[in-house]
Amino acid sequence: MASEGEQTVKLVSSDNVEIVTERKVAERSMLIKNMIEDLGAPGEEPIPIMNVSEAVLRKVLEWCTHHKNDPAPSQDDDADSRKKTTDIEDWDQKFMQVDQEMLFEIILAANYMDIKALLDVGCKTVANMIKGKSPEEIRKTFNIQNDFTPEEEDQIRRENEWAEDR
Amino acid sequence: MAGIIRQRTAQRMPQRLPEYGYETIALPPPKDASNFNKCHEVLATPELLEMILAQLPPADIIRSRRTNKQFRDAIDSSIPLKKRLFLLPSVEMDIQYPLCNPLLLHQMNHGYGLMGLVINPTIPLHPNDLRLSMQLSEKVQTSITVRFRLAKRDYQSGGLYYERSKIVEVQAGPDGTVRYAEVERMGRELMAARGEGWEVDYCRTEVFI
Repeated sequence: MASEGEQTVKLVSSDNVEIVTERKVAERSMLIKNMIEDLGAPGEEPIPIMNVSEAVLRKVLEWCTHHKNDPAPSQDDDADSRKKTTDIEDWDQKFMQVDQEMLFEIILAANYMDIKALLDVGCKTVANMIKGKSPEEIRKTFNIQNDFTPEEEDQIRRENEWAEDR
Repeated sequence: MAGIIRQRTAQRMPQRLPEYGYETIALPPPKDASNFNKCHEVLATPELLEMILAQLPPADIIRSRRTNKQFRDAIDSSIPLKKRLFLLPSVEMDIQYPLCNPLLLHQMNHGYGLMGLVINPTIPLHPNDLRLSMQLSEKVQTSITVRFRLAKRDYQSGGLYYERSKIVEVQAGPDGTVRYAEVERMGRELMAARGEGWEVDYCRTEVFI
């Protein structure tokens, strides 16, 4: 029997493209790991990744390949892993240099595929886009509307007063 | 009794990341599909927005609250984020190093945090400092707790020996203010009780929020 590292699995993206990858790589995703365990016979039956398109799935697998040998995070790791948002590993930072749509696609895919470390990197990247910005600049960055009424805006300004400059 | 004294900035950041829930909820269908891109899908998922905001310093979190209703509601309904903003007590906090609310400390524009309060007879402490530290905790207090640590210098080796720090409650006077003199008196009492050569290495207000 082949060892786990050499085993491959077939994934099927939402747009019906089959991607064959190393089992170890795919198992960075808890969703896939659980599916493989449930299916019992890895490699034979293709695993559908319903919410993720081919382009995004390939990108996510690229990340998984680079991180396939990372130690599994332990529960206690949380205490030490408190890093500032700027502390994104160099490779991850490069990996995240994608257009905004792809960045958010990766976050959604990481969330759906349950890849905590990738989700963290994605969230940190977005957090860095918010850091130091005024509400107006945040709206511009993400193309979102100010949906407060003038009264609500006034109220929230008052509520924030204790903590904000100005 | 000779001087006491070491200035420390005891600004410590929280040691723990807030806990995330990983369950996702079903997203409502986009109201206007053409205008509903992946970015908006992420921001419309409170759990994901919470995870993003949790990566930010408290000042950025509170500022982003003014962005739109999504941001405001995500923050207002998030227990971990409210803990980061000192709007809820944090039970997981490392009680050995309780935090002052950095947002308020920043507002007060002090060169050092109140937690870095040092008993140093050569640097007079503004009497308001202690009263402010009481207000910081946003709960009614009639006393504040102060952590003292005693140390003794071994003059032969030059080494310092530390004792386990002690927490002492310092009562407020009738006007609701804890006087610096009272804190100093406590420190001197501790030194006298410990014996010859022991001095207060540092003392710090403990603000439990």
